[in-house]
Amino acid sequence: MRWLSKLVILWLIVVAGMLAIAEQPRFGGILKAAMQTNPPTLDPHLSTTTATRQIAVYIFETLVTYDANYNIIPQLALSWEVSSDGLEYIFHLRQGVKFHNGKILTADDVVASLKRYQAYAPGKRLANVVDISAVDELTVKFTLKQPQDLILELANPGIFAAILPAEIIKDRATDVRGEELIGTGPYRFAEWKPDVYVRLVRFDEYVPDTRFEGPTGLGGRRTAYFDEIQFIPVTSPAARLAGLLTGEFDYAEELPITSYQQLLNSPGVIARVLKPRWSIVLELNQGEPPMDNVLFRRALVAALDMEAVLRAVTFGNPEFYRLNPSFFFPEQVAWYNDAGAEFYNKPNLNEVRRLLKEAGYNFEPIIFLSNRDYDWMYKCTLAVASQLQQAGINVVVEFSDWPSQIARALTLKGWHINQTGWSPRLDPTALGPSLRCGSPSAYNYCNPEVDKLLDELSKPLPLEEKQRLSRELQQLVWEDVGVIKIGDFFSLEGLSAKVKGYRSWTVIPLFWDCWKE
Amino acid sequence: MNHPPLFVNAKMINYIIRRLLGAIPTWLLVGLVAFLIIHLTPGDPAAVMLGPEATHTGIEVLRERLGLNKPFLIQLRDWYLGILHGDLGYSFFLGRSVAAALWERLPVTFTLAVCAMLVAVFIGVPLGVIAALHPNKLQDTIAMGISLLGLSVPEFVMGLALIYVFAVLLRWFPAGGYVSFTENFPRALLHIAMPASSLGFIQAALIARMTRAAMLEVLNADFIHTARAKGLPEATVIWRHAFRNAMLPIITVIGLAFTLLLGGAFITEVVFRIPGMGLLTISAVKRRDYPVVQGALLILASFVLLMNLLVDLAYAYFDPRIQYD
Repeated sequence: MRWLSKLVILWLIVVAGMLAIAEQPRFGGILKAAMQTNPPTLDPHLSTTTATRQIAVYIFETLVTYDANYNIIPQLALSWEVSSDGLEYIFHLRQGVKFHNGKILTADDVVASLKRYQAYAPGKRLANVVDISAVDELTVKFTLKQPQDLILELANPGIFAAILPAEIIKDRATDVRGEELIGTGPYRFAEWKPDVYVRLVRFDEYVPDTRFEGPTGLGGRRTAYFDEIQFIPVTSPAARLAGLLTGEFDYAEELPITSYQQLLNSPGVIARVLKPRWSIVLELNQGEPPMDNVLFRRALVAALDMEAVLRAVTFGNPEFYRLNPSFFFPEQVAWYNDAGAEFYNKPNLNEVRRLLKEAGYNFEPIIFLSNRDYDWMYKCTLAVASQLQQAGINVVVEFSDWPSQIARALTLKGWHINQTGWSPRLDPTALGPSLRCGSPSAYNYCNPEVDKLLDELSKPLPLEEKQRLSRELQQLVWEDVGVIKIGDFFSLEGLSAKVKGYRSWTVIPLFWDCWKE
Repeated sequence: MNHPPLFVNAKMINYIIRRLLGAIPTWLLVGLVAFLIIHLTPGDPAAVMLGPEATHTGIEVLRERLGLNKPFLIQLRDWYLGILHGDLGYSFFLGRSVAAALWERLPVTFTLAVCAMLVAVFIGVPLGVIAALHPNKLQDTIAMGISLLGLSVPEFVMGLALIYVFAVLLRWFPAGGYVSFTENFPRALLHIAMPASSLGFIQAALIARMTRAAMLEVLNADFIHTARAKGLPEATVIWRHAFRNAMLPIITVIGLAFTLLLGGAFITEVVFRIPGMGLLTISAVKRRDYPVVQGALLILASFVLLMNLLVDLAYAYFDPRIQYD
């Protein structure tokens, strides 16, 4: 019997060893990721689209970035100092960081990149910066008009303040393409065949950030294990699902929620609920009567049963939605708060009738813009429209495709409600484009108090103070009904069980420190 | 059977030249319609490119750079002038000329359409002949039932059903993608099999119905009775006498089916991720890449015109009584 027990122990050791080897990161292989769309451009400065961002984070790096807990951490910056009047920022750069063309990063590259970002990135970036200059080879100085928390703006992954070599990016008006897509990231650009793939290959001379023990969020010590990553645009969700199930793709984003159970039952595939993902939001054209009347806007809020809407969007699966009055997600510990919760998800038809009467609403048609491109927006619109109609509001839904909807909304005329979704806003100032007076995508909403709070929030203040102001801002927007937050919506992504070490950060799948068995 | 010398006939060449010249106004009109459709559709390429957080100023700067702020008629004139010089324009999303982008995709769509056509003919013609040989019997009902199914099922449903059964459940074929025949023949065949079947099956229905009708008409003609009375074998009667004489309407429908196939290929390419002209055009519509959409529609229209001409020429080949004046 003794030999038998020895054999069992030996077998257990072998199995444990094999398991340990399987869990060990290993270099090599190609990762194929099925993405829902082609990026419009890979120039990180020129587009705010998710598809561009999802690829740019592999090729490019920024001075500062976000960690896994949504805190800002240095990336290409070694450290920074702020002058006592808040008008000067000095950034010291890491030494020996290499671009994909072999050149070493210097202050000139940072100056050329960020001046180009300031001049051409959509959305008036670095508008408060009057000068960016190189102090020495590894030091950059920013001079501001007014005190501002510049770090927040430089870390914004919505529109990537990426650093490219000066000789490519200096005064560049046209978009950067092909072999000129050079950054300092762990992967370098190899090939882009529209509709087929964007191919990135490992940058073997990548200089990891050794100040960190491992990767965190978009930064930290990143290691590229795959030889190659292919981002394959697959517009049909059913085709992404089929490709994942047959093993043609290692990863697929935005899968139909209805396939969740099928994925859970499929061996070799892992289903993942991606959170946080979207805030479902109704934007209101406040220049168009009766939407200019706050009483009417409050009637809309009182008419909505948010949970019922979210159930309609997610086929009633609670894993894919969350009631949340905040413009931030609970995962964003620094900014999440429940201000305005007293207005949220409190449907009350008597209150609706009273408010509509007071507002003098006379059953005028309320034009609701939406689209069928995003199934969750489509379903949300149907559910919201039905609830509003039941509450006695004459809602007329107009569907078009997404680009047409954006174009129509930006005319600021002839519509009242715009169905949309917000990807995670990483700090309160990121709400500016949707809330500030005169901003096109604030759709005529204007409250000077809101602008004042946003101005305050952009200053370099202690975190506690900013949290207080952020809470005040959220409360004010709910009272004023600047926009209507419906709730949080999560999406489904699928992964081959052979892929290990996978994480995601907001809408960005992270394939560094990730490997295949 | 002696065929007229097809391509050495002066009348024929004259006819072809006249048809090609006659196609120019149609072609220009199609160009105008393509231009109007995409330009009058709301949505701005600059806004799509810059993303949802773009400012008005940013959009205006990009519009100017892309030449989109020029007056509408000037843009139309420039485009027409470009076409006359053989220049279909420049795609700002692809960063290359439209002609080059379309030229690269054309063989892919063409391969898909030809494979689908083969599927359509190899299913459609035998089904139609079988149905015609057994009118109102079980064989006819089954053949026409299959054809009705093909006519009723939209391309994308057929495509997804095939993917689910043959790729996901049985794992016989890949769920999508494309491999060129010159690159790897067996893999190319595996990749094209399902899209070509999904597209071809639908057209097979049309061909089967037309073959049945044409064959039924011919099978009741006197010369068939004579052929049978002469004691010719049944296969000879059917294929040499009946089928050859029924070819005319079948060719028309095959020509028509080919143009429909090119249109259907647009949907099939999306479902099966085939990087052909269809996928390019649909992506271009979504991002409002005007020059690509216009160029693709123009090329598609040229194919339809060319196909119609080829069908007309084929008539003379199969029916020597037809003369071109």
